[in-house]
Amino acid sequence: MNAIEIRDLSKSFRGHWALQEVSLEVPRGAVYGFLGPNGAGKTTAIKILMGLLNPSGGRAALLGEKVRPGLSRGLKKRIGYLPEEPVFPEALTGREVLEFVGEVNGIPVEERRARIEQILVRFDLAAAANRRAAGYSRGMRQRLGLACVLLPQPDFYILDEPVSALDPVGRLEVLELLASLRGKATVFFSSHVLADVERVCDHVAVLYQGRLLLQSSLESLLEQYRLPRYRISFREGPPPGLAAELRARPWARKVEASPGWIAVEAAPDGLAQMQEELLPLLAGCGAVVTSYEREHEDLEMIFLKLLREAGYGENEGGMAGENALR
Amino acid sequence: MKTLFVKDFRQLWRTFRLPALLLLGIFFAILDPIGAKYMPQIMEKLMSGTEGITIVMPEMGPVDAMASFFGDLAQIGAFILIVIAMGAVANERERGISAWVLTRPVGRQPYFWSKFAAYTAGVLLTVSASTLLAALYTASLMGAPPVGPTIWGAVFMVLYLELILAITLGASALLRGQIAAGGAAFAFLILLWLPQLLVDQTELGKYMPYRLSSLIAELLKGSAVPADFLPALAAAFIVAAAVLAAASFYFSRAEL
Repeated sequence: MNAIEIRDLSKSFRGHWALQEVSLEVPRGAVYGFLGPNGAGKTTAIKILMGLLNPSGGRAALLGEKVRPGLSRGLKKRIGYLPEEPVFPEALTGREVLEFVGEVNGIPVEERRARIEQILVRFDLAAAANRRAAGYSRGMRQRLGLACVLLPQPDFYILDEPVSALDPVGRLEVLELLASLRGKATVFFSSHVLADVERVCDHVAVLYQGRLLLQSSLESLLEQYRLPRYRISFREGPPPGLAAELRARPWARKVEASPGWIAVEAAPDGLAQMQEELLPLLAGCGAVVTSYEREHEDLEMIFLKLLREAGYGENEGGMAGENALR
Repeated sequence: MKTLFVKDFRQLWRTFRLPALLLLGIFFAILDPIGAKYMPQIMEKLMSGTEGITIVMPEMGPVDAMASFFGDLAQIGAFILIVIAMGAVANERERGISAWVLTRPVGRQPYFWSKFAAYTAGVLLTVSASTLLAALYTASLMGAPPVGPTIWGAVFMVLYLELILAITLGASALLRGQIAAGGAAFAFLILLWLPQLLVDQTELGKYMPYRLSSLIAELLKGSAVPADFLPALAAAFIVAAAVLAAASFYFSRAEL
């Protein structure tokens, strides 16, 4: 059974289709990146999954349970949800917010108190724990939101832009935390920052104008977008004459040399021959090779390609459109 | 439900909504007995330099002081109650707080009913504390008011304010925006009192919910008994239950 199963999900707001027949499957134990530019429909989809919005068509299930307005308490106990901009009950302190979350999740008093102290320290909120959460900065609210999500230790996390308001250190820590959950829990998170997604996710889906452009494992996606280009690093730099020798080969279209490495790009239809001949050539040159890898597009480039193919930027206007993705 | 109630009651207290209601009750508990005691003298002094005009002030007693106190609670208290309760659900919906709370293991029905329970506790606290203070202060100034009718008066005042609360909370859950909710509750308050002009002395008048408060003065004077409130109480209960049930049903399916 998948953690999330969505079939032909649609949502219309007064005639505007925020989601159009989206079908998606999120395997259990995956760290799943949900990508898309602003207004793509990511938050709408997440709100439907959390029972906050009613779909106009299609259906969705979480952990095998059909999604409906107001999920069952049992299901909500298994899910940690972080909204894009967490807001907390007014007049409660950060500690009281966590106590509330612990209580409604049925965590025993002693265990709850111990966990709250730990998590306050972990998210650097201990000094502000007795201040009203409404007065927290955006970054602090996001940290408190994450603390609320992690406190009950659920086995399924649905996070809407979980690191958008964090500083670089906080962002890295949270990403490492999400990566550490792989295999132990399912993590489904939306993000604009593609490098973050590439760093921690094993699956991705791309949404654009309410339509799903792609869903795939990250590995097969990167495999699909591999470049016909190898990069070889040497312990003591490329041997003299190697670059010239490579340039002379009919299968090499372009050779780039630097003090530590050489990159060779295959000519059209020359990849198979390059793969046959490159390694024996390197072995014969006598230099110590420290790495040998085929390059691929990074996720950002793949994402941009996909969006361009879908017509992104035609109305937004060149770089303005691209900048909106970052 | 207990966790939600504690949270909601704490919020009511810390956001000064409950203290505001309580202070209002205490204000009337002090002002009305003083007014009843000294109003004749004040009027006499004000008119002392005016020749040719004679104002005869009726003798005011403890019953008048308590009737005036309950009257102020029914009008100004109801007004303030609407102001503090109109955002109970609507404001939290607007700000995304209800979405946050309801994505924790909390049901929508308990979320709604705990708010009603917290505000009910606030109304109970305000009416009981201020009635006790008003009765004690009246006793110290002008003699003790009748104990039984005063207690019954407080009970019917709570029930009357509960009707106002039910309408306000219902509007807060049914409508998007606290201003709309407050407006609807005020409109209801006006509708509640309008029939007094038309049907008060008729058989139908007995069933008008406003009599839960308007009969209190007669109860204190001894010209009405608690049983006289039953038709109005039944009508108020039906109205409140219908509004709360509709609001609760709608809220359990609403988009947040």
